[in-house]
Amino acid sequence: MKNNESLLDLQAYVDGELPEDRRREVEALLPADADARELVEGLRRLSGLLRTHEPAAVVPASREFYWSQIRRRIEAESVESPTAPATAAALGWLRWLIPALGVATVVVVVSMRSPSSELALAGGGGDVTLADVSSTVFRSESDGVTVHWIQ
Amino acid sequence: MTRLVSLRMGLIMIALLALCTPAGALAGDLKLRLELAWGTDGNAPEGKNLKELDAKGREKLRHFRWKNYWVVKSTPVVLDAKAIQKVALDRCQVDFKTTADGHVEVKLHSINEAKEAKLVKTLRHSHEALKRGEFLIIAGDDKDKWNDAWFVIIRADP
Repeated sequence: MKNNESLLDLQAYVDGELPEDRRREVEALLPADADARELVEGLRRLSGLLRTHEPAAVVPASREFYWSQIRRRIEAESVESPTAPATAAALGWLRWLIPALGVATVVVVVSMRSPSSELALAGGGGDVTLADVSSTVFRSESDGVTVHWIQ
Repeated sequence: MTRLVSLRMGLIMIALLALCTPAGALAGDLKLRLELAWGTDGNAPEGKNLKELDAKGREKLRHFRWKNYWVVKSTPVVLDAKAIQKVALDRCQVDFKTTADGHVEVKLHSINEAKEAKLVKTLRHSHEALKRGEFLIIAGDDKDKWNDAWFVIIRADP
């Protein structure tokens, strides 16, 4: 049991990955080979220690949480990059200018009545995050919950 | 004809006034419950007599994986549209302010050993959404205990 292939077989034996016939061969050899027995016992101890003490890498939130972040970013990007062709926009801009000016006037009037702030829209139903430490926002309208996860 | 023009002008003025009226002025005081909960897979620490978060709170946190949520502190807060309320929790402080546009501004501060407050997060949430029963939660990893998390839970107090 000194060559590399035999050592790999012992590792596979400990991991339970050997085919049935090869597993029987290794088991038959073990009583006569003290080095192989020692190696098998060492590998089993190591495996047990790893299973007991290795920190579990568990994501702190569910897949819904992460999917909502992806959806939110996609929506934010699609808002930032309008898809209408430039020519169409050039042809129709006059049609929108007058109503836009009207809306802008109302917005200016309203904003003059509101306190100034460094608002950044976090998306959905009027929920807004101000600037300070970064956080991930999870919002579920159906569950009626908004979670700001501080990074 | 002059009377018709005056009527139209009056209607426009009313519409503009309605647009410019701050929503916060319409929002009444709101009773809230502020809770600090500790998310863990372990048991509550001995001798501290912590209560488990109620079923409604646990339901809102179902997207997270912790088995237990222990309430470290729970306190009622009555929002006052005219004043900022500062509520101390365990090692943190939460400030509430009703804004003119119908939101509740929440500022979370951490409190260090020298009792100094350091701003962690400022956010705004719809007054109406809280009134409807929506939960606003600020959360993060527990820096002292690996694999645990803290949750500041804000909800309407029935």
